[in-house]
Amino acid sequence: MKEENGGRLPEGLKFQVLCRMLKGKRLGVLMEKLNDAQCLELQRFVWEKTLEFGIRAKGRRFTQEELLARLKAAEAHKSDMVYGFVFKGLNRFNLASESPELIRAKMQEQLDLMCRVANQFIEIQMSE
Amino acid sequence: MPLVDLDSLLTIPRIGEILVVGPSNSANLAFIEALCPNIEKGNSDFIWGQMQASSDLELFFYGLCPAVSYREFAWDLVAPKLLGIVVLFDWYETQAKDIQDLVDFLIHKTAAPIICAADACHKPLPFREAVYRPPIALSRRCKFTFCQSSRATFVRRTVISLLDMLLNELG
Repeated sequence: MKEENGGRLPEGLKFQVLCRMLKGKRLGVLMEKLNDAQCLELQRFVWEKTLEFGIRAKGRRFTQEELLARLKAAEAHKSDMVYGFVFKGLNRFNLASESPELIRAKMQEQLDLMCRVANQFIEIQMSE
Repeated sequence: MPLVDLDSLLTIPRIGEILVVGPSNSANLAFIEALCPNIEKGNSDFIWGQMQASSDLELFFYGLCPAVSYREFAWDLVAPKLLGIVVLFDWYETQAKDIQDLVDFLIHKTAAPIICAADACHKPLPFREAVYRPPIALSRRCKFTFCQSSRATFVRRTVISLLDMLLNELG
């Protein structure tokens, strides 16, 4: 059952997201209990934290554009893609033209991809 | 003759209260002992420590063990006066989902800033300092950092980060 909580992510959930990022665990599984607005909020939060880890690792001059390039490069080398798509940064999917399941699957992959890149910044291996 | 002696009013020590919600009494005790010269253990789930922060400010630290008592704690009495809350948890042993409900509970019970401190205990810290210092923001009221409760320097840094959050909120 999806939690009805608007688009707000509770701090407790953000805490769990951050712990999973720091332990190199996949994030996509966390979407199962979230409504669509919360999934978008989760994507935004993970983007911000990935960028923050990039800045912490590489200094203040690290930019969103550099992060986007890292994500695109990481995706290009990914062999087990279920759906071929270009990472769109914070651009939202076309909600009207794509099925909810497909959008969620893409978002799950984006989250795990961002987590993987964040793990590179903080120098840990993804474990599960 | 003035009705109120302003000099004496201004020199009355102020008391700030900080709650430490930790995984065990021993962890809470180690954290509070690193800061406070005066410690008292009440019943088995509760520890109190006092620290003189300045000539006119005392900090009281309450150590609370979440597995046993946090829902039964006198929140109505204490929450309005809290300066901040430290959520201390064992980074290597605790599952994040076990702390998730506690963080949400505390956010709803108080308006005080919360710092979640992942305690590496006696093990090495898992990341270089730039990863967790300054603390990582989860929201304006809630941040995340790492510490070693066995080392006073880390404990002090955690509390200073919490007080920084409070000052930023006031500013």
